[in-house]
This record gives sequence, structure tokens and C-alpha cells, in this order.
Amino acid sequence: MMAFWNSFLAVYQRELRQDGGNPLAYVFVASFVSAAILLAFQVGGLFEAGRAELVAFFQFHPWLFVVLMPALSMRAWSDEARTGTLETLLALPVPTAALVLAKFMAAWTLACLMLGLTTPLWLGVALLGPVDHGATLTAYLGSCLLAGAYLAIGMAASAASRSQVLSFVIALGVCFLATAAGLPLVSSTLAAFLPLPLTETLASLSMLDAFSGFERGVIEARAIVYFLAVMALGLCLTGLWVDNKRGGLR
Amino acid sequence: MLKLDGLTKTYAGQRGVRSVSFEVAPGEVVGFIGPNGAGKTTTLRMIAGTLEPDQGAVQVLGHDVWSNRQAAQALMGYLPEHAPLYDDMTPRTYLDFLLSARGVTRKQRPEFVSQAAMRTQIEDVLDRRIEGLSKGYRRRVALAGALAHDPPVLILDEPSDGLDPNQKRVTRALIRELSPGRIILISTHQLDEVVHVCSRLILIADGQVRADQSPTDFAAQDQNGQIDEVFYRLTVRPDEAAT
Repeated sequence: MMAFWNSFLAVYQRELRQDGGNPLAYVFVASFVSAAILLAFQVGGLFEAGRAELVAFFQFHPWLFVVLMPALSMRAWSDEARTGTLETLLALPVPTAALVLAKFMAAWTLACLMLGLTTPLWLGVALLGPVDHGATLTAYLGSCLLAGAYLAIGMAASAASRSQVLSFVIALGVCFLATAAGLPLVSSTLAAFLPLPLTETLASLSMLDAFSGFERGVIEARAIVYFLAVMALGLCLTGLWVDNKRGGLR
Repeated sequence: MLKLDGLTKTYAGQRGVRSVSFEVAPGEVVGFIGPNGAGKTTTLRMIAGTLEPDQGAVQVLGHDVWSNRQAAQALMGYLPEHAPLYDDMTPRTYLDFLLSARGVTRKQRPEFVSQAAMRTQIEDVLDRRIEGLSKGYRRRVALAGALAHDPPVLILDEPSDGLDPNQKRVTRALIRELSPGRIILISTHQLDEVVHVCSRLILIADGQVRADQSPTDFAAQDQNGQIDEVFYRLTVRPDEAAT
């Protein structure tokens, strides 16, 4: 067990240091913060509702994450495979699970830090009127879980391909489908071709559906289980694909 | 003992290795030679636990590489082909990272790093970014990574590739210095390296072992003692010989 945590910590710290020294990570964080705030004001009409609440801010997170989380995770494995450093990692006496979890946790930490940088908006709104802090905190929790789910999908896509671009495109497609399935427009269109129960099931499996409770400040066990299950599935697939690399081009 | 038993690997549409078996005892430095595409790197990857064989087994000091991978890998230092490195790190942080992942304590790590840096003569670039290092230094940093944890088994894929003659000399001296009590397997194209460093050579061609003897006995197969002549005779394909 000690070996697991030693190797987990080593890889986790390496990944964080790599992000810390990479100017692109700062561009990425700045892009998210500015886009999230801009969308909240310009499209969501944050101040126009006349209420001190942040729903207009959180409602765009799923769509921002659809693009940003695949971008954050695309190089995690594909770059290691491209540069050959995956060979070095696989030669270490380290469980594959520790490698997978460490890379995921490092990316998730960055995503959570990025969300943390938007808290001045929360403080600013709180100065203008009474904010439901519990509901806002819940929405932040939901955003963190949502980011984790998208990242796990991105990690699996990155492990599946040596090309960063292809990894990004695959993850973007899967994340988009998992999100758009919950849109009323998509549900009603699908209802014309599919049986109603199937359409409802697809809609209920969407990221939007799971995130909607958190947006309103409600913590639903079903939604937490959903996000954790997506993360577990994504990470298991990542582990399988990384282990598969030991099998060569069979 | 390093023991390979019937290692076989085939790739889709490509030659792999077929039933490769040999043993290497502590204290032996074995040169693993063969033409390009003979299966040297594939064999070394299967020993290092980064490529799973289709058939056969590898045992490293009693640990099976595939049923007890982590125990076997803990005993090995592996220099992969092309010496891949993290360009954003310095040699010091790179070696520290490898040692940390191998479970070496924070207190012990600086000493291990210094020792590996001294052996591979990279002390003067320890705090420079790897990205800016010359090919020779990069190769030596990767070599330092393979031996940083002082393993009893060293698997080195082209350790002197890209080094200038002086650096090659230093690397060969280092391998000789490390050899007592260790199992060292070196894949190389450089036949003079085998003569200077190895106590035994194993020749592989078309995925099969064609020779396993001392460099002296190998060279003695040519009336002029030319090792490259023997290598040519044992590895040339009929179509190549005709041209």
C-alpha cells in the first residue's frame, strides 16, 4: 500500500509541477475565468435578474467544461506515448492504478483551483445583496464533480490515442453527447424516433440533468453517484488502455 | 539470475521475437547484438515489463516479470531506446522523481542523485533544463535514471548511442565498474563496444538467437578474427548477400 501512495504522490507532484511551469496552463485558467464571467454577465444577465444569486454563472459551466476539460486532459497520456516517456513510467515498479489516479487527481486539482479563482464573483454578488451561501457552495461542489467527470472522459480518450488532437476531438465529442442528451430540444427530437422511456433514460443520463440539482443548491445522492460512476468508468478505461500498451500492437 | 524462457512476441504484419531463451548470471555483462529490426528492443522491453510477451516467461532474481511485475521491476534499472526524458525537468528533479516513485525516502534521495550524477558525469548540468541539453548529456541523464536506485540488474538499450568517443569511453568504463555482482544486458549496434565491455555476446537475427558465446570465441569463427565478418555471415539474408 505504501508503494501505491509513494508512486501516486511522486507522479501527482510531477504533474502539478509540470502544469505550474507551463505557460499554457495559465492561459487555460485565464480563459476559463474570463469566459465564465463574461458569459454570466453578457449572456446570463447576472445583474439583470435583480437577485443576488449565481445561477447565471453556473449554468454555463457544463458547456465551458465540454471544451476546456478535454483540452486540459488531452496531453496526459498521448504526450507520454508520443515522446516515449510512457516507457519510462511503465518500467517503474508502480501499479497502473496509481499512475492513472495521480494524473487524474493532478488535472482535477487544477480544475478545482480554476473554479476557486472565480470566488471573487461570489464575494462581489454577496456585497450587493443576500446570497444563499449554502446553495452557492453546493453549486461549486457540483461544478467540481462535473469537471471531474469530463476530465475522466478526457483521460480515457488521451490514453486511447497517441495524438493529442485526436484525443481532444474524441473527448470533445463524447462530452458533448453526454451533455446535449439532456437538452429539451434533443429529447424532443429523439422522442420522434425512439420510445419515450428510452428518450427519458437518455436525458436522465446526461451531465446537464445530474448538474441541474447542484445549480439550484440541492445535493442529490443520485447525481453524486452519477458523477462518481462516470469518473470511475473513465479511469477504468484509462487503466485498461494504459495496460493495453504493454500488450503492444496486437 | 536473469532467465528468459521461450519469449515470443509477434506484431501484426511484422517480425517479432521467436522463442528466445537465455540466462545471465550476476557479474556477467552481456552484449545483445543484431541487425535493425532483429528483435533486440522488443526482447529488452519484455524483460523490463513494458511489453507483454505472447508466450514465455522472464524471471529476474526469482521474480516473474508478469506475475510479480512490481517486485521484478524494483530490481531493474532500464534505459529505453532513444532515452526518453521529460524536457521540462532538470536532471536533478528528474532523478528525484524516479527515486521518489520507486519509494526511496526524501532523506536518501539527494545522496542517490549525487551518486548517479557523479557516475554518469552530469554534475555540471544537474540544474539545467533537460530541454537544452546536448544529445550526449541527455543520454547520460537517462543512463543516470536507470542506475540511480543502484539496481542489481541493468537493462540498457543502446547506452552509448549519440555519445562522442570520449563519452563512450567513460560510459564503457562505468559499465565495467558497475559489473561486479550485477547482471548487465546491453543492446548495441557497436561491435567494438561488445569487445571492450562484454564478457559474453548474444546475437539475435530474425527474432531468433543465432549465437551465444564470448566475444573472443565469436570472433574466432573468422580466420582473421574479424567480429564484424562473423556478424555479417550470421545475420545477412540471402537477398542482401546477392546484392
